[in-house]
Amino acid sequence: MEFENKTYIITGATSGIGKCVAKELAKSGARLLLLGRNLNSLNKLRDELNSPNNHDIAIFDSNKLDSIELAVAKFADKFKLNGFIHSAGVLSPMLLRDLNLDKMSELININLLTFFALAKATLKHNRYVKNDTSIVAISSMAAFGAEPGLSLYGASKAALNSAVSSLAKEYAKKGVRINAVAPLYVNTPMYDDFVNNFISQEAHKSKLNEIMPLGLIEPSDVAKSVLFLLSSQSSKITAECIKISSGGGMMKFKWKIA
Amino acid sequence: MDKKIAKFKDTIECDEPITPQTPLDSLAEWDSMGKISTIVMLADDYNHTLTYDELKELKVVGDILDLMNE
Repeated sequence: MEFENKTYIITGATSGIGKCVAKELAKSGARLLLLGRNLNSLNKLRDELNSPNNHDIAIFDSNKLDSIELAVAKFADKFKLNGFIHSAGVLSPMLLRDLNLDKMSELININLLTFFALAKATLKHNRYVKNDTSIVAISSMAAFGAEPGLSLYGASKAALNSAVSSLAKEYAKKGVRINAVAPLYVNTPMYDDFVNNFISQEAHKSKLNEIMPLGLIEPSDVAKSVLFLLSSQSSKITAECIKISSGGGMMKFKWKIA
Repeated sequence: MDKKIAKFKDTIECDEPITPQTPLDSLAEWDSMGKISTIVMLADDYNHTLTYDELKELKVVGDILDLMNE
């Protein structure tokens, strides 16, 4: 199996894309450390994975970045790491007039700074497998777009892409590859929230084909690209961002408010 | 001494065995990244600001260990 005896950390593993990646990796023999906010959801997920006893779980709080180092240190004492997938993220569409420092910090902490904290914790000397480590950040097409209400989210994902390419250059000599996957709309709880709260169901139905001619993206579509970037099939690919646009370009939904 | 060597190895992420006599130029990890990490380590942990002129004079691992004084 492709990921037999490989060890990965996943954030945001209990829902959406992260959950799908966790299931696929476990199916292919990987050992996982699942990071999340909620102990019950983490336990429930672990029980659903292949060989539950292979995997560890740890609670982390994105507003306390030190908790990531603690969780990783404990796990890395037992196993050398082959990389991580940063899938935790929040969308929080907000207009400028509704932004405040607390909301901004929370989003930047989860979407961007958690990635840095996890990279720092993973890429400590002797914690990762030289020449066999691959890191994937889940970004978004919003990083390349210009949508009202997604200024902060888009900025956080654009920053994430930038971090990915810089760090990839920093660690190429050590044989560490760092890439991003940037999908347009993915069929996840995050997307359901967005559709229900920010655009009308009608607009959604009538516009979806126009926005994404190849159809709404499923978490498994994203997971396939993630597994490709983790696998030896992409051994020469780094500092790259795979866009999954489903034939669309931008996020052209008409907002209820606009 | 062993502690200092371990700390320096950790700083530049070197897996080879090294001694104070090891020439720095023989270490693959003594590249620009390794030098920057060493400068930061000396500044943060030993309050020593390494000047460019000092950096040029460093020949062997022991030269760095000498700067690692609490």
